[in-house]
Amino acid sequence: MELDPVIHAPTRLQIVSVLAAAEEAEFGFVRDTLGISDSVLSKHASALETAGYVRIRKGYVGKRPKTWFSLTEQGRSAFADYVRNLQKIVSPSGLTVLPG
Amino acid sequence: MNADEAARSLATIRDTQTRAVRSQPWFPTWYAIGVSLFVTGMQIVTEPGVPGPLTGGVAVLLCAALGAMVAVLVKTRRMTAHRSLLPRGGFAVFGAWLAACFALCLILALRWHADEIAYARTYAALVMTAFVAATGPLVSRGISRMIARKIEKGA
Repeated sequence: MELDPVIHAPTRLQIVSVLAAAEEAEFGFVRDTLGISDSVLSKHASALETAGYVRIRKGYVGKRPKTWFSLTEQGRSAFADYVRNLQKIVSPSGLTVLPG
Repeated sequence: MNADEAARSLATIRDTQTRAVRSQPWFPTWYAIGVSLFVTGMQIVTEPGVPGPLTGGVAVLLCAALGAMVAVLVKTRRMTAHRSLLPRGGFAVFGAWLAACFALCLILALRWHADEIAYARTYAALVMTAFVAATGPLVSRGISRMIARKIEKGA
């Protein structure tokens, strides 16, 4: 089964997972939640933006520059497909990821 | 990718999402308190005996403060949970809490007005603000937990 190579890298999958749960998330929030460095987040966010999966918005809070990320419709749809494909792989085996 | 790896990936996705959602209250309490103070301010300036120009001036200032609060909320919010994740129960909890705030304010205002206490509406709105401050964090964290549980269940 073909899994989306743009999302498949572990760090990128985690970034997209956080963004899928959010309307919009600030750079620092994503970095702190995932425990990754600024440069790693910047690199993956740029790759996701280039693929059309992530929208990057820049602005200021007071004099501080801030960056916000959100998933585009294309990104949201790609993530939903990715999760569906994972579930298809898992379901015949009888494995579960549900708690309890 | 085999089934074990796929299951691990799904678990990682859910774990990441629940961690993100749980780390933020669904709404910031300072904002809810600010809105309550706006309501309180509106009660003060519309009490009998307050001069018209003062009412108008302060009302404009209060509206400007409310607008500034909305701008700060939008600009400083680190993460807002996606609307599709909010379970019906979350809406119900939030709606019930809002209704309780308004009901408390209304009942106290009517009661104190009937007892001919001056500035009854203002005192009632102040009590509502205290109620919001005391219960807001529980409600917003509770709703975040409900969203996290929805993600964990894979809904």
